[in-house]
Amino acid sequence: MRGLLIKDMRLLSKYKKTYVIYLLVIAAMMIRLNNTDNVAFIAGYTIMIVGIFVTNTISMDYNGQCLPYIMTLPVTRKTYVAEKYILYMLSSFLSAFAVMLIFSLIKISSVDKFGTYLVEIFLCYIIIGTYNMIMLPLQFKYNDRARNILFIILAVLIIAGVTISNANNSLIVERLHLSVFKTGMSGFAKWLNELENQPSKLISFFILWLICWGISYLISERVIQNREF
Amino acid sequence: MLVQLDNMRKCYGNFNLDCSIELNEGRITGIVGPNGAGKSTIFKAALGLIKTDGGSAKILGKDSRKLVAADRSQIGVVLAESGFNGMLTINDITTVMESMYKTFDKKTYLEKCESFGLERNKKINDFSTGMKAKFKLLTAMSYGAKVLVLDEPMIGLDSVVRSELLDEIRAFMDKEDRAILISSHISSDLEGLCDDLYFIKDGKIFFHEDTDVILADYAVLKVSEEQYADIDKTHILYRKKEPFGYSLLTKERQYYADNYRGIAVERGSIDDVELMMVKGEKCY
Amino acid sequence: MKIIISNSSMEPIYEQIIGQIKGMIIDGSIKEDTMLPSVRSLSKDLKISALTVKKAYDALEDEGFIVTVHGKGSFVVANNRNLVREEQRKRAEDKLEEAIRGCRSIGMKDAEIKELFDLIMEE
Repeated sequence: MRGLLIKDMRLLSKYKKTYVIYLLVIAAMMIRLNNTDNVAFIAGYTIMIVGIFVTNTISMDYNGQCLPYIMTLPVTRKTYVAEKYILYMLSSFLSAFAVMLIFSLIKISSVDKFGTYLVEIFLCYIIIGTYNMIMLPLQFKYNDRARNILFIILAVLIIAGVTISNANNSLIVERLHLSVFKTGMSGFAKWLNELENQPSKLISFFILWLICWGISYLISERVIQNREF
Repeated sequence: MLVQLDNMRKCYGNFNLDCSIELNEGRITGIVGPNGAGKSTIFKAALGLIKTDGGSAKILGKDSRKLVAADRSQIGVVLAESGFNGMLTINDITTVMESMYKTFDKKTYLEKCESFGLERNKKINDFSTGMKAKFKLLTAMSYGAKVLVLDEPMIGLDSVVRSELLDEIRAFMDKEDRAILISSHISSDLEGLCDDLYFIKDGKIFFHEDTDVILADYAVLKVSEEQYADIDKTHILYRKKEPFGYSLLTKERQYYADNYRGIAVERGSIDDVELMMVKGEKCY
Repeated sequence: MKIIISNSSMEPIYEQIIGQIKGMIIDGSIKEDTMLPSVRSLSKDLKISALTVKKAYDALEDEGFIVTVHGKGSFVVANNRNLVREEQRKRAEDKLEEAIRGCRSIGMKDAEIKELFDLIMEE
């Protein structure tokens, strides 16, 4: 597995220029929007980009016709899948940690807010993690098609969700029979708030979340075990 | 036996592969055949990359689908259309190989890359076709594997590079119990390298023989219609119609050379044998 | 060891090898107890399959010219004078056979051939 990790990290390091551009974009956006207090946005953006790069390594293996050869290296199919999951876990955790660190350093004066920062970053980590938990098995099975379709679906859902939550015109909501959806959305927002204030619930939720990761891994492993190269 | 395909069957839609192949220690065995005949499928089955629909595929004595990492460390592979990601450099790959293979010989590997003119900091994608082929082969031979499985390692190469690579392959066999399974279109390469050859077409092995027997005993006779009428046909294996009469394939070159001094008797090259068997009529 | 193989000759490659090694043993260019090149290195130099060289070596061993010690190599048999003489005799016999065949093919009768033979013997 070490070999695969080295390979993927070397591959990703070929994209240094791209990282710099993304960082500059974030910085520019932060400055332009005068939004230097919005941890959620920065964290979300960063963790999401990191996730995309990791799933990109799967895409590169597939598109570069590398998979048959990789499967002849001293790795089992299990190891191949496990390495991608570990790569994701490591990178998303490290990037979340890095955002926390940088934010703390920049906003060292507002120490009291660190608690909120931590929670918001954690939530971003969970939400994006959930997205990737679903994405990884799909990427293994369907490669880029899955990624693009899922991404579009997610974007549509987010936009729809935000629009609907903001829609004050109950007529439209009634007409589109979206009342259930609206209740669902506000219910979800309430539940998130509750979670922030109840650590025990948070922990059990986190454990459940980890179990879902386990299921995601098992599905991916099965996909690759049955795959022919 | 290092590689054994025993009545291995694989079906891809209309294409059916059914073959038995053996690779023994100390041997270089070649597989010859046109595109689409099933050569790559044989390699993929031997390496456990695909499932089989019948029969068995074994390598290093184990079921190909049940190989573990330690087994793979003893197999060197060149695949025609797959390899390391092209964005990596030889430096990157050396680091990867070091951590994957306990027996990786870094020093020799880098020396050989240098002697073949492969720059260490260049991306594989930026290599020429010849250099890519050299790189793949050197990488496959860099960790003292017991068996090499080479699928079309010489594709698209000029004769100078092919000659250099053939020398490298020969050198690999210096250790007694190694073996190589190699496929190629280029029959002349195989003539000077392989100990025995399997000929495959449309998913079936239609001929298997030691190379030196093919080169020594097989011959193509070129006869006119009249000569054909009189000639002893008991040892004729295949017959092909020609503008001048017929081409005949036989395994008894000496017999015809001695008894029919007026007839053109040519040594059977691998190309000739393949052509006659594929395009000619069976006469026995 | 300088062996030259012709790919286009009608003689099978392994027979060419056998013939040339025998020739070198007979005319003394390879002395007794000399180690022959390994099967691998000879196949590499001649650019032929190792199996072909092995078959040639096996044939030479069957005829008694060389002996293969497992793990060490193949050596020219010591005290091979008898064999050498045998081989030389055989080659002389072949030459005579060829000469007689040549004579017969131009229509000479056996008696004529014998006469010619005695004539040449006296010279």
